[in-house]
Amino acid sequence: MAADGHLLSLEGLSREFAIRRGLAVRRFPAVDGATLSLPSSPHEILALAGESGSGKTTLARMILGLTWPSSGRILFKGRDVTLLGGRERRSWFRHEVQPVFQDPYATFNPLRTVDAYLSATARNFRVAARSERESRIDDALQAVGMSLRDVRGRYPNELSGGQLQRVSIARALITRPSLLVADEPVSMLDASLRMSIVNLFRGLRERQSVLYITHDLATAYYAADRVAVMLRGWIVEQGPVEKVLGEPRHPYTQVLKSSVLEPDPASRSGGRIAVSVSETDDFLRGGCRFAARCPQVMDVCRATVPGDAVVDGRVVKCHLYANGGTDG
Amino acid sequence: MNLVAEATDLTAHYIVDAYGQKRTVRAVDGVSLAIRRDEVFGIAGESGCGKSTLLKALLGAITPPLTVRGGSVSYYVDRQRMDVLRMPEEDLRALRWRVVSYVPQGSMHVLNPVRRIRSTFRDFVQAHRQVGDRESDEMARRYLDGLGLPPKVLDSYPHQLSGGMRQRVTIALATILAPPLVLADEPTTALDVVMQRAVIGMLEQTRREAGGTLVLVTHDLGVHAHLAHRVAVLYAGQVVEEADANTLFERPLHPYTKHLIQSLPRIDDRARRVGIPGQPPALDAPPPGCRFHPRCPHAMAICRAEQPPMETVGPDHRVACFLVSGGAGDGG
Repeated sequence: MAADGHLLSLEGLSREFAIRRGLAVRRFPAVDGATLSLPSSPHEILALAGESGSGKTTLARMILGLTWPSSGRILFKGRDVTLLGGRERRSWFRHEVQPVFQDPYATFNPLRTVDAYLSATARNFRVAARSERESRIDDALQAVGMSLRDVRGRYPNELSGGQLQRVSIARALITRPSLLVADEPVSMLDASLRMSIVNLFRGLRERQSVLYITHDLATAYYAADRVAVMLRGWIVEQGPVEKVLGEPRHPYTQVLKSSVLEPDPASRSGGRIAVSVSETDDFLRGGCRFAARCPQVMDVCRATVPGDAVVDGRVVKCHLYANGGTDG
Repeated sequence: MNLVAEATDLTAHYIVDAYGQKRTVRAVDGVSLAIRRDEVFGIAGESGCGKSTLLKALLGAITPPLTVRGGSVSYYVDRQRMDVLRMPEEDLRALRWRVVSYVPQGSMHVLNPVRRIRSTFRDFVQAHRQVGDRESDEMARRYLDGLGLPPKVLDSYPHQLSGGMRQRVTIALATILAPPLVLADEPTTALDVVMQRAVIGMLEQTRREAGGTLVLVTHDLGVHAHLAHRVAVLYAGQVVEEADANTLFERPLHPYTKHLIQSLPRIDDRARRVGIPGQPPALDAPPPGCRFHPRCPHAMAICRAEQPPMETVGPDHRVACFLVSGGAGDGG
């Protein structure tokens, strides 16, 4: 177990992409100074929420080792994963951190049976002796409410979307990871199937921690213990889900929450919401990246980047809480 | 009743010939809808329940393998009834955009990537109105300004705009000529929450200012709750319940509607929700009787044998379920 008691901690993690405008090349920070951690115990579901283009997926790809950070550190069980050699990355890190993908219909090879896909995963990761592989796979399928008998010899088109997403979660469980990174795992599923998968993640917390990436605040509130809200590469508010989504403090989180369409005609409301014309402008502007749309914008917001402040049990990156914000 | 469009017992199937094997996908099966002037009519349902096919039929866009097997679609415009499915293609084309316009699914990707938004607006406006470039530009600028979109949008190429901005441009294109009927297929899907709210605000505004009917197809019940006056719930190609939005969300009667509404998570409430067991049926071999019976916790013997009739249970409230129509006896 890690010396500092964290399963995962991100320290000032950043990733820049270069964008060209005519002859000029500008640095575009897709993730900018992300600092975040998951405890070793108890297991936790941490939701990473934010609109499209907020950097959620880039952050997840860095945690999975699919995208290299430009700066900052990723510590997993106390070890800096960017410094791992290829062999250790394969034999240790990839067993410990597993992805669950967004689209179950696109994850599977339509010409291969589902059980062949699962046993290939078990073989590639050398999870057990050949004789025990089947029971490892069955164990993973049992954890998602299925069994090897349900999928043996069957092709992906013979399973429903909900079943396929269960199988794709089971695939991630074969190595018995300590962390699942699930990027929008229910956004492709129908309403009547969605909650059964979200409930599955709630149940899987017994086995390991989950980083649940979503733009759906209602399922984040329902499933997660803590939430980090991202905006244009920054984590603008993070803390327990009841605090951050229950009584949001950052103006952006407040806008997000009030935008959620509650399934209740009584909650209809008017009011226009500011929407940015171009995402890149927000990134390249000085000061706070929400300033152009913020209902509580001040002069200082357009000039300087806000710092992090602890307010009422959560961390908020906003000038409103710059002085004396520490009331909790 | 002041109707703008009507579908009567509409049946539209996809007839697919795969390797010599004929397969009939019953995407829309006996759907009747009466859509009124100046209302927002919502069509709800999960993927594969026939929503988009129904919308295509309402638009009169029937191309093989989609085949109309029965029923009719009518528009009531210019004090006339128009039989959409039996109309020559040229006549239908003349109605499009003047009488009925369409916001397609995934409309973020329908804009021509090598033309500025300004030129796309010119194409749309000049195809239907005798106006010059300058007049068309002025019309587009004023229309976008009224909707709160900055004028610089007109000078942009689609890739320079954010996804939500592109979606709003497509809605502006569909509504600039103020047709009495706009059909929108999943206009808020694939957008994040803030953008969804902005797009909904815009749909509401265009309708409030220019009047007209919006037929809104989406699986997202939150969108229906915020926008629709009346909602029809589709399951496996058939309407199972139809009601005004308040009644549908507060007193749903069909077990499918009830379950769908109860399963939605809400912020500030972590009470356990459950999904509906099972999955929607394949439409090439729908179950006999009520199509929901294999997933229904209240299924009775009659549900497996007979299709429940559509019963009117209140003003604007119709439901097709034996629990409501009392099918325990002989279906009376």
